[in-house]
Amino acid sequence: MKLMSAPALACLVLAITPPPRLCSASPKATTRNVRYGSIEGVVVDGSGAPIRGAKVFDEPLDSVRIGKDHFTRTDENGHFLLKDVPAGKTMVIATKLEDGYPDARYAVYSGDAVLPTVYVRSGETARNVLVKLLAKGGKLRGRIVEANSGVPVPRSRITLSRLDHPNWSLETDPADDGTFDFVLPTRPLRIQVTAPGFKAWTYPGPIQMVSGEQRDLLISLERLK
Amino acid sequence: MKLPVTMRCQCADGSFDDEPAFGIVSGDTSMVSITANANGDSMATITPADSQSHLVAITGPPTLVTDCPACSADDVTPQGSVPVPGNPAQLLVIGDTTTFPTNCPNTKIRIVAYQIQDASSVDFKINIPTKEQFGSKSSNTCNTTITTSEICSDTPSGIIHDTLSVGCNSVGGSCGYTYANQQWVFCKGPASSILATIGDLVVHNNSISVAGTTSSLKGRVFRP
Repeated sequence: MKLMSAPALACLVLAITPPPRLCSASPKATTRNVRYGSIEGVVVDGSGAPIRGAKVFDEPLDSVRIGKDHFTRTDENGHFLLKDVPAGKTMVIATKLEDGYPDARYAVYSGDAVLPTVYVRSGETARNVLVKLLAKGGKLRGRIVEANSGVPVPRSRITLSRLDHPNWSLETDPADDGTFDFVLPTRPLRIQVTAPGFKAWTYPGPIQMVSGEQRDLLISLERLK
Repeated sequence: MKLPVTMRCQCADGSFDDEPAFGIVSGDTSMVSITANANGDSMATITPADSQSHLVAITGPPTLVTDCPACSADDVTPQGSVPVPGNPAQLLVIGDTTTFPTNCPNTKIRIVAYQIQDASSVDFKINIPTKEQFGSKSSNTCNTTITTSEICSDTPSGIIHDTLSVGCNSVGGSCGYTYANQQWVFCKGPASSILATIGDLVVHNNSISVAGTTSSLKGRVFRP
């Protein structure tokens, strides 16, 4: 019999929960005439402090990986070992969205950040790679609804784009209930929402988040007449 | 994959207290088998039995709650149920993003997110092995080396993020390739089964078509 010491217990139920995924290797992609190596290093924030639980991706420059994501996570010391990296030149990118660090894999977020590029040799490990997260951004949450009824607008699309490179954009869907959730960098961006049969909506001027800020938007789309 | 069983105690103030469960027994060991880890904590292995989803009852030994009577008794018998999805049978598109990668920001990239479901549209939230396969592959006029996911590997949370791009290249324009008849496969031991037939991937430097469209596939269900 096991003793439990939580105060004021009322009843007990059982649940099955998936374990946290720390340091879990991502799927190994297949290869055709591709050789592999590994990358080992540390992920830090802007102050140089190691970051636990960051995702680390290889983004090859000499080849392309299609299909499932390939990443690992850092341990409690910010350390990572990323295996099955195609030999050649690759950019190493770290993200931790849950703590407010924007996703540096995409140009719309990464700005002018200098990200480490390493050369991976087949069967060898590129060591001591220091990967900096982008500066902490702000969380933009929102909901897209029809102006008259307040119900979610089907097939709406959200587009984020940079002011300096408008073509380096990101276009995505909201959730089924019309909600969306972004971690944005502190640089100014444009945001636009479109949907078939509705007038396009554009945020008045650039949107610029402050580090650590959380902002909510309600976007009401008007039907085309 | 083994998942920890948690014993959740609801306190009088509405908060919850979670602890690893121990001594748990399954009502149907063919679908939910329980073993103990090195600490004696119960771990569950879920095995879909057929095309239908099921709820399997699990119970634990009487447990003494020390600080206050729980449910009008000092000893309570933990009980609960485990949702067991049917065999994975289809893919639902839950997101479709088009953007430009940091490593080559003038080349388009598209990420289609698929949720694995059983035939009753119940989501698979557990990690299962999957792979992709193709009917045929064209040459790649961008001259980049392409790595795919054609070997069985994990699919955390039952979500496939399928990333498509020609990769960094010096050709530019509309160079690219066509991988015809993409299928996602559930790797079930030696016998694999087709989860979904997506269709053709027409991947260019400046345009990416999946299943015949460059528009978002969100909400679409793909079956074998």
